[in-house]
Amino acid sequence: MPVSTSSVGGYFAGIRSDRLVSLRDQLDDLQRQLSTGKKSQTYGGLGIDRRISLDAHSKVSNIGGWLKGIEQAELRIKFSDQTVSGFNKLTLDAKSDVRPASYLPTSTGKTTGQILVEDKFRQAIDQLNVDIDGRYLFSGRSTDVKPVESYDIILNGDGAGRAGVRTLISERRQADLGVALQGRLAVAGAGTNVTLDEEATNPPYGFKIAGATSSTAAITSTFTAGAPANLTFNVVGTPNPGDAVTVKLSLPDGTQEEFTLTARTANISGNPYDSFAIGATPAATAANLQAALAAGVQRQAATTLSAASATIAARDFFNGTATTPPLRVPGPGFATAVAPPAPGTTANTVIWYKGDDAATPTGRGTGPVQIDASQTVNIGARANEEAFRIGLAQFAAIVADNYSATDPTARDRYEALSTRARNNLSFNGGVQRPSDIATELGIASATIDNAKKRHLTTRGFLEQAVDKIENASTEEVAASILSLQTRLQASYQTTSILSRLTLTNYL
Amino acid sequence: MGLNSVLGNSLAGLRVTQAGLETVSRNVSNAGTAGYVRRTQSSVDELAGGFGTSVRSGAVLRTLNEIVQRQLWKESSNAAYTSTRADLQSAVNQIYGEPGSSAALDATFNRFVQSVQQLRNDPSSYAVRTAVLDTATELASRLNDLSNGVQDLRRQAEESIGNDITKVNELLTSLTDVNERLISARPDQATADLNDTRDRIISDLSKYIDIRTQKEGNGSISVSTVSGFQLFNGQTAAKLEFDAHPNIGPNSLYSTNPATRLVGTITATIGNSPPYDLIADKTFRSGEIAALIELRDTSLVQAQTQLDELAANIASALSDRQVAGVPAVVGAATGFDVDTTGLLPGNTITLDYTVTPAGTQSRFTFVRVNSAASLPLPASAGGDANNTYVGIDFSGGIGSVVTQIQAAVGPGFTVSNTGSTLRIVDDGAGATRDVRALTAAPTNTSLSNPTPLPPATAPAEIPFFVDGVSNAIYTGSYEGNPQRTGFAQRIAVNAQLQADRSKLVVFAGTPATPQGDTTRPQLIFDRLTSQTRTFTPATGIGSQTAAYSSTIANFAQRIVQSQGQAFETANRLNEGQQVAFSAIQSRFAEDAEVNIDRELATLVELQTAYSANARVLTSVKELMDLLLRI
Repeated sequence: MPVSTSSVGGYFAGIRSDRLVSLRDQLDDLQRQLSTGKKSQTYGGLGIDRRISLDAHSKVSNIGGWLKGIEQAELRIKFSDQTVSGFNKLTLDAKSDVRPASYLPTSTGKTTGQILVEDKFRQAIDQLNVDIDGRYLFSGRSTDVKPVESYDIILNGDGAGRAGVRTLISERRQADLGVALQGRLAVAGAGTNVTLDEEATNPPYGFKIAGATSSTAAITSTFTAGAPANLTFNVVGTPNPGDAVTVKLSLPDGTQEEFTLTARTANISGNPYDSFAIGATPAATAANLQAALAAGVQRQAATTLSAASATIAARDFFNGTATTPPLRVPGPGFATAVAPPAPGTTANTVIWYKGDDAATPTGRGTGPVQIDASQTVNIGARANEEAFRIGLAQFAAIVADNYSATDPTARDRYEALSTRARNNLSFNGGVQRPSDIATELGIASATIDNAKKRHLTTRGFLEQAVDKIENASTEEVAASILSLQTRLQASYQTTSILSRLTLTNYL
Repeated sequence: MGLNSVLGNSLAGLRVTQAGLETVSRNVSNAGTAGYVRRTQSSVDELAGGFGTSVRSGAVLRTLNEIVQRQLWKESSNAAYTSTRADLQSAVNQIYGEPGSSAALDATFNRFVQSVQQLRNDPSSYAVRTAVLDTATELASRLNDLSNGVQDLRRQAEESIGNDITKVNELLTSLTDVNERLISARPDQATADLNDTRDRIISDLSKYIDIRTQKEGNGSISVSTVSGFQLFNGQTAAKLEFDAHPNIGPNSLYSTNPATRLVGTITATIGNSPPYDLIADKTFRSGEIAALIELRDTSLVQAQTQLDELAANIASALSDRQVAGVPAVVGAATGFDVDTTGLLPGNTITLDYTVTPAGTQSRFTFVRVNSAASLPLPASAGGDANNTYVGIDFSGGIGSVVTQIQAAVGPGFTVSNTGSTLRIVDDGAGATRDVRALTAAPTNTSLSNPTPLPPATAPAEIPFFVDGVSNAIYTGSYEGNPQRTGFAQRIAVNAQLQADRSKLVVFAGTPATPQGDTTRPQLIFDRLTSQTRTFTPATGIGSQTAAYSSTIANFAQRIVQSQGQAFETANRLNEGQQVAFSAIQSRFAEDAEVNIDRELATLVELQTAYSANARVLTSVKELMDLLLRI
């Protein structure tokens, strides 16, 4: 017969013991709460507050995620900022290394200024290659790539066909100076006329004549603008000693240089490049003027134009990226090049920057860090940002050249280059400065700091809420246990008394 | 009248008291027996010729209140129903994890999101990428576990129904037997025992099935369910049968059509009548069996649907592109063009429109299927009153697609195509419809885009999660079984992604995405936490007729919430029911229970009566002696 003993209808003593068991269960549950500290082991047991509990858990987890991101961002900002400030200091130091009248040649062909700047150059490269836990900070989004090539490869190429900045400077210099080393100008004369002509092909290299003046009526100057422009001095009389003609030349880096040729009597000696002897006839004077003009142009070519070439070539080199390699003078046959500089290839030119070089995002935008559901701060950086490019190009231009103690134009060339380098290192004219990057990082840091405080406060609130909902308070549980204990004891007592109270005992 | 009759009376008195004593002793000895109802012995004044001549013992009566007893059976069904539900819901609730513990479903999901958050901020870190894959695998296997847990519970329910049906059949057989003996029995001590037995059988039966009883004049009883199905007509019992299915999976659903039914059903046969499907007829309304059926076919199916919906949305959110339509104007009619290439079975094209001038905003969702056999879509696909799901068979080419869509949307729209580009415009001057948007959502099937695309147009969507170990792409296809059904049981992290974790970041080959690019991690994070998605009403979350719209993160929470709520409700109901049951039990016990004190009092009474009768006998004897000595 499939009838169970627990069938309804078996009532004897069943009901009362059920209640005892239920009390006992409650006691067990309270004991569990006391030992685990949790009100319930399932979301079902939390009651209606489970909604808040779930929501709070998810929010706390989210905030945890933001805070982790923030923690990392803080470290990255600290490192980035250190690099940027360091770079700023390097540029300032370099400026003072090549301060005016600091030319001091050494036996190695390097000036002391160059030696100091070389050190800055190496430091800058190391700092831009900083990484945290394998993540390069100045590679934009290509955080796995070391952004900057090594010093030697940048300067000298890899020796396997890829040219470094030295080669580019030399090529540019050849193109600027031309075969005659006169900055692609031709000096000629006929009778009383002395002419200075630009090349007919009008190459985008070398000097461009910007004009001339004469302090004497004895020499007239005629400047014909155009492409090519030309300049004619006509010696119509005999100039007095001290009379001078001044030639103004434009250089490819946008600067202008003037040089003056002063008339002197034939018996007084003077520099061939800044004076000419007054001849017996205007034609003789003109011949002297022609020689002086040629010497003057050559001198400018060897000094200012050479410095300008280095500045331009270094600028172009550091503007190059993998997608648009550096502009180079087409060649060989650099000295006679007429076509404008064209991008090289990654196979023949060192690409100094190996990181991310996409058009967008740039700069800070390459390292966005989300610090809240809708708040993102940008703390990325790329080593090929303008401020770094300008700084590195100046370092390279300074370091690349040789200044032999025996070279008569070395001092002037060095001074011409250091003037240009100092100018560029002043970051004037609306270009990006290292301090701009530092400021942007500083603002990001402040934003992050605010977000962090806000997150910590919110998390505090949420954790309190969860605590209230999920965690059993020891005092409350203890009090409940006490009251339950009393009830249970009373029930046991009563049950025991009732079970003894039976007529059986009194018969 | 004479001494003889006095003698007879007291002898009869002794007999009656003895019978009384026997009843008392029986009561006392059965005080603890389950189902034993206290008995009383009645005595009858024996009449002869209109005069009371003696006394004899009458019937043994059971002291029970039949109304309370019926109430008790009813409550017993309900109590079994609520306690079974509460037990199983509690088991469901437990598999969702302890609040705040790392194993809880929401915690697993939160950890995945958190790791993506970190990837978003540090995309190139190997450790973070590993963490993303680890947490994703954890989430996938958590969903697998939960889904297996739900199906295990369904399997248990299936088994329990089988066991219960066996029990019910045994009970019905015993009932037939006992009932037959009762009809032919004499109304004395024996019938009380048989009655007790029959009551016990019925009370046991009431735990399984909600029943109603009807007493017949001949002492027989008929039993039927509350819904009206006769289990026992007083002579023969129905034979119940359950064709248990050993393999229960997410696709094993109940259907009234035996050909498509993949779980067991309960059939009844009475005599030679054809089997009758009791579940189809909703015969069981309370009792353990009803609770088990409800869990197997409703509650747990819904729990599975919720998990499937969560898994499907996580997978689709990360892999489905949103191809927005391009505005198109044809005369006065305006609408959109959308490219249909790349749509896979299960992928959708949505048409948002406004009914003018009423201003009601509605939507058509066209779902790609690859054969007419998959049409129409199962009812579970839709369910939202404002979103009509229509399956479109793409096997006939774009021309047939245009025809099918035109037929589905009706005359308010004009559907046409140029190559694979689909154009839907409204009725322009007719001004009954305004097309608001046309969007295609093809699944991105490869981890990085094979064709060189400019990074700006290369889709960053990622088939992060796939269907099962075979690494099949999840598209929500309706070919064969709906891919969504049971997806939570099969969801896994894409094996190719595990083999090459850089694909968490790199989504374009030419030019290659930088390793520190945030586009893809950002997309994953946004899709999980802030993209609003719609969840089918079949999940029971939100309203019955409108899809629930929220973020995936929110939906995951709602699932845990709804299961917690279901448990709490079931538990409350059960607690209430148990109180009611206890109350009716004690009410019943008041009459039926054997109370030792009462029995002993009766014993004292009977003792006295016995002594008195014996005293009378002694007196008669003395009188007789006196008489004989004369």
